[in-house]
Amino acid sequence: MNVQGLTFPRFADFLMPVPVVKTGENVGKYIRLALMTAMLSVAFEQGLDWFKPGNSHWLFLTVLTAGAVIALAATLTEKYSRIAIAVFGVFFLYDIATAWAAPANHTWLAAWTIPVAILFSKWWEQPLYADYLRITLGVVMLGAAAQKLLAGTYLDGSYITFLSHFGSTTENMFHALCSKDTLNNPCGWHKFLGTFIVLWQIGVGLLLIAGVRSLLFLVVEVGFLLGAGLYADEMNFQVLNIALLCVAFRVGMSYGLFVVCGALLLIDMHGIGKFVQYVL
Amino acid sequence: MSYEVPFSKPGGWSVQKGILLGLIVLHTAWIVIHMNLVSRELINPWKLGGYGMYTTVHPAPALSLFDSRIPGFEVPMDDKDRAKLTSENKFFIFRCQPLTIASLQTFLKNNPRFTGVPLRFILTERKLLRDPIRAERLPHSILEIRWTGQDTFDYAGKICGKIFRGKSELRP
Repeated sequence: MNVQGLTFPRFADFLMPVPVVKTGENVGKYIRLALMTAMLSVAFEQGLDWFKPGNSHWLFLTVLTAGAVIALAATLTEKYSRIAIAVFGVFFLYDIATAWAAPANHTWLAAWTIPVAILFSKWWEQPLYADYLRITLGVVMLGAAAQKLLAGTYLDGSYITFLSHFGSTTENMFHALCSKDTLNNPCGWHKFLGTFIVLWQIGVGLLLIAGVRSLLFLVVEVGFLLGAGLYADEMNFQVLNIALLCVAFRVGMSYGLFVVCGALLLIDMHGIGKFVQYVL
Repeated sequence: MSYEVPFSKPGGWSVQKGILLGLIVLHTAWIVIHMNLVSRELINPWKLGGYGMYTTVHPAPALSLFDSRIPGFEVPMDDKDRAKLTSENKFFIFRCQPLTIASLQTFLKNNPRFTGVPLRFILTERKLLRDPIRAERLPHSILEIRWTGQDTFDYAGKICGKIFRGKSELRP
């Protein structure tokens, strides 16, 4: 449907895992949607602290919310995308600088990636920015795998065993694979899972850095991230990763995936575990 | 499957390409430094952007306050005081950094009820233990306060196997 130059998505567009670019359509709007989703994950992660009771005045919260909505909406437009990211970036980096010891790792990843887009006037058309995101995500994957090897808790299965017995609702999903004796000697399944996670991260990291651009690779990795987010009950990081991957692969984010990511961010406010408990 | 050498389009050098490569080098170097600090148990692996989350249990450092005159008697701390002490000590992510004197001075200044009371701060952390695999909250550091006057006090403590001590006074 097209009304005075505005293109509205059809219902079928929401069912596609990756954007289907129509004839004469620019993939740029899907890439801008992806980065806007990354910014949305930051807004949920950083902004919600301001909304805790007694933390802020209502007028400040109103202005903050309005500013965030305007910046996110403007990111979707060709004309104002760069300036919107710049304004968002200034407030975001200031927020980090005021409490730099507190942020989670995904906040740092967002700081290394999102504001960098302002180096280019049409960042969504820039292979350089996409390459930067791809290599950064690859380095992060290898770094995360190296930290797991350093801790020595994955190859021997001990951390998976710990989560399976003492983790939250979703973290103990592999509890049934092994008997209670696994607490004294991690079972083969838990060792396999720990080893698989490390090898997967190394493999994905190397493929990203090498520059492999396969849609299948992207879909499999997005699926793995969603699974990992479900397991660790930490969807905010995964939404950020997925959104950045969509920019890095220069395919953008489909409306369907955007709806999924938006829903996951809302659920993540209270945690998937609580959501599952409520539903069941 | 398509393949593209990163940073090959456009070819040649540009300011933007230089900045992007510089950021990647900085980011990588920081992760290596972070791992080094984690391996020496100097920082919380979950924090500071080194991507060491979910490598072990979150230490979730927690500070408790005791009245030294009565063994085991924990003194309730106001939530705001606890939050302020925590934030002024960088959320205890630097694992071998003792409580800062400035934060103690502020705490004692805001809590005149503790003037003259010998105090003991104990910082605990959750640790992943084996045989059997479990997590336990264990003492990580300790700091004692002895009053030497109405506005002056001595402090002594132990963290990461090192003993520290000194004298201080309340802020005017």
